Amino acid sequence: MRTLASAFQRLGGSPGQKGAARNARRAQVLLCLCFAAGFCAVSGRAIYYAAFPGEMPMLASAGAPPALAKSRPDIVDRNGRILATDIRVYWLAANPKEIPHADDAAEKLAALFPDLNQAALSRKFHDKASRFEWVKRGLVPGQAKAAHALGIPGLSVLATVGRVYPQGNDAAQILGLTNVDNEGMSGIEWYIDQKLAGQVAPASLAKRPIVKLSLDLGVQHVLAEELGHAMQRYQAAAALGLVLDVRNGEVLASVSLPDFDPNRREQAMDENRRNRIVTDVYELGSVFKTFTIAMALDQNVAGRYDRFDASPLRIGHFMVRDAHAVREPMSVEDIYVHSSNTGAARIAAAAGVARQQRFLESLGLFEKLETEAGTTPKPVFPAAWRPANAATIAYGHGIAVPPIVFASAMASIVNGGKRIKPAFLLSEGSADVAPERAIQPETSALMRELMRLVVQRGTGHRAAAAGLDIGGKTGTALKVKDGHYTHDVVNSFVAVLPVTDPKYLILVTLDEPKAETADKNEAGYNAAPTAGAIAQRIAPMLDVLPTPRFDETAATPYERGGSNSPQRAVLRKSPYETSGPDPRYSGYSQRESVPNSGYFGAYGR
Amino acid sequence: MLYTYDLKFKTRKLETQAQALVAELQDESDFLALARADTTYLSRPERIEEMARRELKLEPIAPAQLVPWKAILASEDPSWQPQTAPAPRKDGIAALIEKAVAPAAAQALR
Repeated sequence: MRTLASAFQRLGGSPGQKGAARNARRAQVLLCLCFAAGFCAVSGRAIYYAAFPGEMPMLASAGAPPALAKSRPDIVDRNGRILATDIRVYWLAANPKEIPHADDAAEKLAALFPDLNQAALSRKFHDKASRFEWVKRGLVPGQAKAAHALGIPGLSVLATVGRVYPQGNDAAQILGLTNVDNEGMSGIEWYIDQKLAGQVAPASLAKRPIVKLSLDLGVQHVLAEELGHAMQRYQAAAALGLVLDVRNGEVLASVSLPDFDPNRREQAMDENRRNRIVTDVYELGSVFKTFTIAMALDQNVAGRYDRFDASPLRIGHFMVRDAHAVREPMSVEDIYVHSSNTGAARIAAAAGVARQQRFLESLGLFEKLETEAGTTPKPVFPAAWRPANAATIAYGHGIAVPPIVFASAMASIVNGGKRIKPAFLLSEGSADVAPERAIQPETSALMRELMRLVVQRGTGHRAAAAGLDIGGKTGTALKVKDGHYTHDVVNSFVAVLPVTDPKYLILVTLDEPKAETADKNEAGYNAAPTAGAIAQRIAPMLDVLPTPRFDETAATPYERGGSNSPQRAVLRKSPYETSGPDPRYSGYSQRESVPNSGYFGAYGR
Repeated sequence: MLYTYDLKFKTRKLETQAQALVAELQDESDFLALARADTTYLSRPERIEEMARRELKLEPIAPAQLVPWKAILASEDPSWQPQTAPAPRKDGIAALIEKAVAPAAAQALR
C-alpha cells in the first residue's frame, strides 16, 4: 500500500499531508477495482462452466477407456467366416457396504436376471464386512444398461472383453475354450496363446488380427449334421468324422459327437464330449487291410491277382474267420474288396513281421501326432510283435490308433504316396521340401482302384453316390471292454473323393452302433451310407464335379461306350477274379448291388 | 503469464476432445464387433439351412445336378444344348422370398 501510494505521489500527485491522504485513498479504490474485476472474471468463468460443462478442461486420464489387455484374435474358417470373436461385455460387481437395502437390491437384480439366485444374492449383500462381490459376469451392453438403470447404490459395472462363438456347436472341439479371464485353455485357443502370442496381439476391439483355420464351415456343418442323423438312426454312443485334404493335410472338417456349445463352458466339462478324433485311440478293424494290401503290392510280396487261401486260420489257440467265408482261394483284389480277414492275415504272414512293422512305422502309425488342436496319445500296439499279432494287425485288431493319425496314414496311401501332416491352420505357401514318400505312385493308383471296387461291388456298395467317384473301405471292429472282445462294434468307413484325382479323404467312425436289423451291424450297413451321404453333400461345396463316365445309381453310362470301351474297363470282371458263394458279391451286377430306391431315398428326406 | 494460462487451458480442452473422440471410437468399434458377431450368428449354416428348407423348400444340391462341360460337349442328346434364345424365366426363389417376407414387411409397416 505504501509503495502504491508513493507511486501515485511520484506520478504528479499533490504533495503535502493532504495530498498523501488522497493518494492513499486512490490507491485503495484502484485496488478494490482490481479485486472486483478479478472476482467478476472468476465468477463469470464459473457461470460459463456451469452452463457448458462440456467445455470444462479436465485431466486427460479421467475419461480414458479401459485397456484391452485381454482381447484375443478372431478365429475364422478358410473362407473368412467368423468362428470365434471378442465382444465388449460387462461384469456386474457390488460393494455390500454401500448397499442400503440388501433384500430390495437382490429382488430387483433377480427380477432382471432370472438365472440369479435371489436368496444367495441377498446373503451376499447382507455381509457388510465384504467390500467386493461378483454379481454376474458377461453382460451384453443392453443388460449392463438395464442393471445400471436399477439405480442401486454400491453396484458397479466393469467393462471387459468376452469371447463368443457365433457358430455354436460347429467346430467347438477344435476351437477349444477360454477361461473367464479370456485366456486360451484348450484347442486352437490354447495354441494361439502358446505359439502365436507374439505374432497376433490385438490393438483394439475392432482392429484385431485373425487366425485362419483350414476348416470349411459349410463342410463342418454338413459333417456334424449327417453324423448327428447317423448317431440317432443307429443309436451309436459316439460318432466321429474327419474330412482331410489329401494333397496338403489340411483338415476341412472334424467332428466328434456328442459335442458342446462353447458359449456354455460348463458343458465342456463333460468327459463324454471330448474330441475323440484327437484324444482317443481306436481299433479300427478292416480299414487297416488297406495298409496290409498296399504293403504287399508296393513291396512285391503279392500281385493284384495272386491268390491266397481264405479258409479259417488257426493261430495259437484262436481261430480267424470271415463273416462271408469261402472255400476257394481268393485273389488279393477280392480279399480287399470282400474284406477277408483270413486272406489279409495270410498276406501279412507272407510279408513277414519285420516288413509289416517297418511299413506301418513309415506311415507314422506308431507315433503320437502334435496338431494345433491338441496332441494325440501314443498309438497302442504290441511291444513284442509275434506272428499272431501280425495276423490280427493285418485286419486292424490289436493296434489302436487315434483317428486323425489313421487318416493321415490313409491320405498318404491314396495321394500318390506322399507323407502329409494333418493341420488345422492354413499352410502359408509351400515349404518346398521334398515330401517323404511312403509308397510308389503306381501302388497308390492301384490302391485307389481297389477302393473304388469296394464301393462298386464290395462291402462298401452302400456308400455309392450318383455321379461321384467314391472309393472306400469298410471297417468293423469288435470293441474291447475290460480286456475282452465284446459284441459291441466300432464301425468305420474311409472314403476317397474322387478316386481318379484324389482330393479329399472322408473318415466316418460310429462307436457302438446298434444293428437296424438282426445280424447287420457291419460298417457296410451304417458307416458306409453315412459316408456316402456326406460325400454327396460336400462334393458340390468342394468343387468336386461328377465324373461323366458312369452313373452308378441309374446304372447308365453318360457316355455311351460299348461294353468293351476303355471307360468301363475298371468295372469289367477280371479273368482272374474269383467269386464267393454270396450271390451279391459274385461278380458284376450294378443293379442288384445298388438298388434305385436304396438308402438315399429313405434317408432323412 | 496470461498467455501461458490460456495455452494450458486450450491444451486441456483439446486433450479432452481427443479423449472423447477416442472413447467414441471405442464405443463404435465395440458396437462393430458386436454387430459382426451378431451377423455371423444369424447367418450360421444351421439357421440358413433350416430357413431354406422351410421357407424356400430348397434341398442341398446333389452331385448329379452338376454337369461338367466335358459331358455337355460330348453328349449328342439335344436336350443339353441351348435350343434358341432362352425365354426370360421367372425367378422362383425371389418369388418365394417375397412371399415369405411380404406379410412380415406389411405388418412392420402398419
